[in-house]
Amino acid sequence: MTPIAYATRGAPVLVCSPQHTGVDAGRFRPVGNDADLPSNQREEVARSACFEFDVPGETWILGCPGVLLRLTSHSPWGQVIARVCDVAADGSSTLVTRGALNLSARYGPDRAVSWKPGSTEDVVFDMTALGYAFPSGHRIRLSLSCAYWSWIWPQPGSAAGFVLDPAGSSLELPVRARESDPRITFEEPERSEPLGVTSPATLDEPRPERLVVRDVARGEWRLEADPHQDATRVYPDGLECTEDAPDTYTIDESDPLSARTRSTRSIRPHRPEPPWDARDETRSELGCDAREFITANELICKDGNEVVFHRTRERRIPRTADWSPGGGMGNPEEHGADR
Amino acid sequence: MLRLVESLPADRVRGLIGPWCHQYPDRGLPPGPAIGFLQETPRWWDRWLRPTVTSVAESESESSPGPDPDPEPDAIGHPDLGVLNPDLGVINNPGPDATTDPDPGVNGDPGPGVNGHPDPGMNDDPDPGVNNDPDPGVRNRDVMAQPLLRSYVMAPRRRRTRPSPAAGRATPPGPPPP
Repeated sequence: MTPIAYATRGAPVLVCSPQHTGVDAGRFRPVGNDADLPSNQREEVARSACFEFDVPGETWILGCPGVLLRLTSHSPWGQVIARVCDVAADGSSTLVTRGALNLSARYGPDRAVSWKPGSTEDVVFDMTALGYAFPSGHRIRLSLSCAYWSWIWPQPGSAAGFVLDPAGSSLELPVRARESDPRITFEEPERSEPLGVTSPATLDEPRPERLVVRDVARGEWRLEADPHQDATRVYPDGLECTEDAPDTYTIDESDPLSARTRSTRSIRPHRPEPPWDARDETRSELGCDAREFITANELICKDGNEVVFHRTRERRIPRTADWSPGGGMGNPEEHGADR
Repeated sequence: MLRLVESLPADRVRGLIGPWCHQYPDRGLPPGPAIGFLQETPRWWDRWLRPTVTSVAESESESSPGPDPDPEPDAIGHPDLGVLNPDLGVINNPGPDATTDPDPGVNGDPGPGVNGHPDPGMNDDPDPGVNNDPDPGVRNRDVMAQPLLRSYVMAPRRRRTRPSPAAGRATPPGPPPP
């Protein structure tokens, strides 16, 4: 395996992605549902700075791709997200791998060091390890953005993005010489007898798995995700269990501090005979200001229609370990990052 | 996972990478392909967790406890815990004078060896009744404490080399990378 560096070229470019970049990222934890894997990346390309490299001959990679980027930022905080795509001759693209760096962690995940506004530094980070083959005649596209919601919670003051200098930047791919592989084989899957759980058909159409709602005038984007895996299950012994688990992720195009999420969960095991009906319902919300994450949680437990337990809790959690004066992270009010 | 495979001893780690979603690869969920994953896992566990015929025969012939001067090459060693044989339920303590983990919850009994009877007065085990039944697979042996293997597995993020600053570009102030 040989790391090959693909140097980027061109004049310095401003990377200033709208905050809803990442809407086509797919699900963070794909479990085989139809909408889990990332969809066509055409629109994400328009929100990112992109560089393309030819693939004259079939290119196999195995390992962690990485990037070296020369960045100039005028904000003390921010993040950079890199994605590699395989672009076919007809322009369709497959998202191959991606990685992200919180700029405050550029010297290591154990040190929070804000960026000196106006300064230029080289940063390096890995992308997710993989094995992949780029077919001959395709192109490798490197896309860079300064936002990736809802995978990455944006730093305060990061809406202005950063300037990337291609002359000091490169993509590194772990290219593998393709010798004849020892044949690796596996047996057919062998599993135990299924339990005999059934899911009765429902009268209502299930909600869509992933729905993107855009309020055009407000510039607000909302992702509604509903895994709806077998919402009602009936077990062989008569136990029935109904679950609901929708999440929403909302952000305004121009405001990193508008990021917010809401998750509700309900689970209802019940039996017709002897009749009992238990219900747990939760609501969790996460928002932020420049200094803190703001969380709210609610739990309601019911026996039939009677509430037997009810608790709400709100907490504010500092956004970084080091907001002390003179600490590494600086002061969001000084830099206008709180507006 | 590749970082672990790169950093851990080659004979102690095996990685399996494929295009599967976040579910076990025998389930056949998209994009697949479904493989016999449930056949692969017992092979690994048998290799490291099952008693071997050799280790059971050797242990039964021991007449006194004491340090194991020549630990089996397959044993998983830890400087504080002594040697944990793949033979389940047996912890060969180096003995009361040797350095042991100061945390009593881990290895609380510096006393009798593996073939003796537990001494309730010396046993730090907070629930001495739990392990009194010998595992039928480990004949005539008592578990002297609550076996606990604590393993810290860390693989450093790879540091890529940076080029030296290009001529004419201002070197930024700030802490140097570690």
